[in-house]
Amino acid sequence: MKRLAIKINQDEFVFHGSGSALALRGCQRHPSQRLPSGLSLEKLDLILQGTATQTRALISQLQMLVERTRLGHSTWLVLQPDDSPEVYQSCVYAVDFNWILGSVQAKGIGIRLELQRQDFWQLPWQALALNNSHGSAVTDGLQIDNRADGAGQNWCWITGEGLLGDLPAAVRLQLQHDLNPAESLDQIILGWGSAVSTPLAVLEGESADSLLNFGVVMNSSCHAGAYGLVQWDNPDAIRVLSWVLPGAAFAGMAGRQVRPLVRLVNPGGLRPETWLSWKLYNGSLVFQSGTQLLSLERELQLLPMICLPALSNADVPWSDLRLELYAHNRNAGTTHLALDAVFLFFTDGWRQFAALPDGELAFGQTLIDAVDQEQPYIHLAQTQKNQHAYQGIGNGLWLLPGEDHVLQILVDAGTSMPLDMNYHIQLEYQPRRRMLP
Amino acid sequence: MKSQVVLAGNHLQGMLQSGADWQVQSMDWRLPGGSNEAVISTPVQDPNAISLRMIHSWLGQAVSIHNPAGEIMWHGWIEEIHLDVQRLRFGWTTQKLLSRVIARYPQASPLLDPLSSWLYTDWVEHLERLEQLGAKEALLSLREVDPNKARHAAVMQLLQQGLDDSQMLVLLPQKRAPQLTMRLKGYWHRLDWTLDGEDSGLIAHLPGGKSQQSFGLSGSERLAQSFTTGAEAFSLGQIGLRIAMLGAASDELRVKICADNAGVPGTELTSSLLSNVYLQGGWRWQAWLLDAPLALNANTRYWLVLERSGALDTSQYYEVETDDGRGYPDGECKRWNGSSWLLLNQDLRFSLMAVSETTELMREVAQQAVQGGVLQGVQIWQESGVWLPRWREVEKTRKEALEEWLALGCADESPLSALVNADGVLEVFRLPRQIEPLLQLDAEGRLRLPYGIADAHPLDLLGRRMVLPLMEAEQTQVVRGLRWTGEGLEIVDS
Repeated sequence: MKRLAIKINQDEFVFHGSGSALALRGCQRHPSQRLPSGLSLEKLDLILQGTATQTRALISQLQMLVERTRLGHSTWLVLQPDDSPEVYQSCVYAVDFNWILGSVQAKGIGIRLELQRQDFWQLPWQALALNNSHGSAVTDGLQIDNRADGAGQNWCWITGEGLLGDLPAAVRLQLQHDLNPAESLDQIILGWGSAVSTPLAVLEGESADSLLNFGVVMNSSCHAGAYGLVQWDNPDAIRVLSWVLPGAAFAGMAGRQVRPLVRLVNPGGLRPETWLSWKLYNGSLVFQSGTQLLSLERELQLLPMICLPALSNADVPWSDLRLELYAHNRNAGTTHLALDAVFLFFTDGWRQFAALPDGELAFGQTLIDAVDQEQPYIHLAQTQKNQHAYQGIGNGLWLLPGEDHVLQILVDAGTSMPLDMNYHIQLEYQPRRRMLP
Repeated sequence: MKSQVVLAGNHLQGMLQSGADWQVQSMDWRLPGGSNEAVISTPVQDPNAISLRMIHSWLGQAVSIHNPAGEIMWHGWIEEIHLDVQRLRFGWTTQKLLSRVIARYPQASPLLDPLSSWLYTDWVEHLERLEQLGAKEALLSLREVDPNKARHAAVMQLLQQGLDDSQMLVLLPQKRAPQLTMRLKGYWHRLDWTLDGEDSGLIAHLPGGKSQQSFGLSGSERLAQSFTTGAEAFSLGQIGLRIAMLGAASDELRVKICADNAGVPGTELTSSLLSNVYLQGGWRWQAWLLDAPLALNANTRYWLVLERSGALDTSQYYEVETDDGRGYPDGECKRWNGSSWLLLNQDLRFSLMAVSETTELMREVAQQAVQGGVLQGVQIWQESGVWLPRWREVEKTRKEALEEWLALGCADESPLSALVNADGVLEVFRLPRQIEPLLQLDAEGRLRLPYGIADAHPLDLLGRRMVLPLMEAEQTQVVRGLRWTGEGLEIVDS
C-alpha cells in the first residue's frame, strides 16, 4: 500500500503515505469483511504519536469525518496500492472509531477505525475503445447509424482484451446528436451483449417465408432497399412470416434472451388491434412468446422477448432454428402487415430511454447516462448546462472484464424511424476490483 | 433478478433518489387480474427532508416494475404508504378516500318498478379530489324513504370520511432505520374504485297499475302494445308484463314481437311461451325470455302481442295491468276482438330488456375504464355465448361486475378469465391459455419449460397449463397465481 486516505467532498484525510497527519505514525489495514448488508467492513488501526494538542486535533478530525459521513456527505476511501499511478476508491457509507484497548501514550495511542464501504474498489472513468465500420479503437466518439445493412451500422463492439478490473463494471454512455440536424431523437433503445463480438443478423421482411399472400416491395427508403408485405383475413392467430436462423450464430447463447425490435412501414395503415407473437423451433417447438399489441403510431416497436433454448451449444452447435411470427386480428377485414426488418437485440444489458412529456434529444445535445448513479440527463453544449428529458429503463450496460461486448442501438423520431439518422457515442467505465493488496 | 421501480411522473421522484433506490420486497400476479400486489421500500436518509404533503399526493399514482431487460413485469398504483421514523410508523392509504358518492333509498312502492326496489340521488362530487385522484366512488344504501336525507348522507360521507387518507399511528416494537414502504395494487383493483351501471338497454312503461285489461276470451282475444326503439339498435332478450290468471286456466301465455304493419301488428319476428306454472298465485311481474336475442332496428316501431296458447274461455282467462293515466308516448295499445284491432285508451305496463354477451359487457365496461384513464385498451379473445341484460342498476363495482361475468364462463362450459397486460390492455380469454409448450412444476414449486427456460414473463405464465410432479402428462392444472420474492418466482395458486 503506497497511500491510503479518506476523501469527503474536496477534503482529504491521509492515513498512510504522503500528506499524512503529523501525529499519525502508522496505519495497518486488516482484511476486509463482507457484511450481510452487502457492504464491506474495512478496519484500520491507526497509531498516534505526538503532542497532546496534535493528538487532540487528529481525534477531532476523525470525529468530524464520522459526523460528515453520517450527514450524507460524499465520502470515499482512496487507495494507491503501489507505485503505479492507478488510484482506486470505494464509497464509504458509515464510519466509526474507538480506542484500541491496552494502547498507552508512551508507545502511541491506538485507534481502531471501522468503515462500511462498497464491496469493491474502482478506478476513475476511463474511455472504452469502440469499433465498427466507421473506425477502430475510437475513444472520442464513434459514429452509429440507424440501420444494419450495407449503408450503415447501428452497432459497435468492444474487445475484451485489455479491459481492467476483475468485476463487472457499470458503463457510462454519451450519445451526441451532432450529425443529423433534420430530426430530434425521441425513443432510444440499447441492447448489450456480453461474450459476443457481432450482433445477430437482421431479419429482413423481404427475406421471410410466408404461406399467405406475401410479396416483396422494392423501396429505396427501406432497410436493405425492400420490405415484405403480407396480407390475410383470417380472424384466428395465424403464422404470417418465418425465418430460418443459422444455429451456428447462437454459439454460447443457450438459455439467453433476445429482444426483437421491428421496423414497420406505414404503421398507420395497419388494421387496429393486430397482435403479434413468436414461436421458436429447434427441431420441435421450444418457445412461444406472449402477444404484443402493435401500435399504429410508431415505425419502431419492441416485440415480445424470445427465450432461447437452454440446451448447451458451447461445444456442439445447434441445428438451424426456425422463428415464426404469428399475428392475430379478430376484426373483420384484411390485415396488411408491411414489415421492413426485425433487429434482434442482446439483453445481457438493456437501456431504454423513453422521452418524458415534451422531452427529446435535439440536434447539438448530448444524452448522458450512467445507470448506477442517477437518471439520464441531457447536456447542452451551447450553454454548458444539464437538463432532464428522459426516463431510463433497464439494468444498464455492464462490462465483464476479459469478454468482448456488442452494443446495439436504434432510435426513432417519434412516429418515424429515419434510417439515415446517425450520431456519435462514447462509452466509459470504471474498472472494479474486489480486493487490493 | 434486479428489478427497477419506475414511478410515474417526475414529481414523484422529488427528494428521493427514485428508480434504482427502490427495492422490491415482493410482487404477485393472480387470475383474474394480472398484477395483484407489490411491496417496495427505500431507506430514507433524512426523514425531516420529506414533505408529508408530497407523500399524500403520491397516493393513487402509477408505478411500474421492470425486469433487467426493461420489460414491465408488474404495474399498478400506490395504495398505501408507510414512513418509519425510529419507533413511529406513519401511514396513508387510498382505502377510505372518495371523490364521488351516490346514495339510494327504497322505492315507496316496489310494485311500480319490477327492475329495482331503489331510487337514487344525484352524484355528489369533490372536484379537487376528482382532479387529483380520479373517480373513486361509493354507494350508500339507506332504509328511510327520504331523498333529502339520502342526499345529505351522501354529502356527509364524501366530506367527513372520504377525505381521510391517514392511518392510525403505530408504535413499533423497536427503533428502525428511517424507511419508506409502499404497498401497491394492480390495475385490476383500480376497477374496484368505480361503480358499474348501465342506463341503456331498457324500453319500459311502468306507471299505472290501477287498471287492467282482460284477454284470452271471446271479444278480447289478444292484446298488443306498440313501442318505438331509441337511437341505437336494440337486442331484445327479455319481456316483462304484470299478469294475473282468472279461474284455473291450464294453458300457457305467449308473447310475440311483430313488425308494424300500418299501425297494427304485422309479421311475427319472434315469440316466447311462459309456462302455466309461473301463472299460479295472482298478480305478478312475469318475464318472457327469448331463446335468441332479437335484433331490433333503431328508431323503429314494433309490437308486442300477448295471447294465450289454448282456446278462448270466458270463465278462465287472463288479465294484464295497464296505465289509464299518463300514457306511453311512443306507442299505443290495441285489442283483437276476433276480426279487427281496436284502439284502447290505455297502455300496457311493460318492460323490454336488451341483452348482450357477457364478453361484450366486459368490453364496454373496460372501454369506460379506458376513457377514465385506468386501462389502455381491451381485447376479447373469446366470446362467451352467455347473454345477460344490458341494463344494470348501480350496485356493484366494475371489478365485481367483471368477476361475476367471468365466473359464468362460456356457454360451452369452458372457464373464462382476464388480466390487465403489461401495456394496460384488458385481455379476456378462455382457460387454459393456449401457449405451448406445457409448463412443468418441479418438486421445489418452480415452473420450468421442457428446455429449461423458467424466466418467461409472469403474465405470460398465468392461465397456462402445467404438469405436476409425479402426475401423468394429461393431468394438468392451470397456473392461477405467482409470487416473486428475493428467493425467486413461485407458484401460489393453481
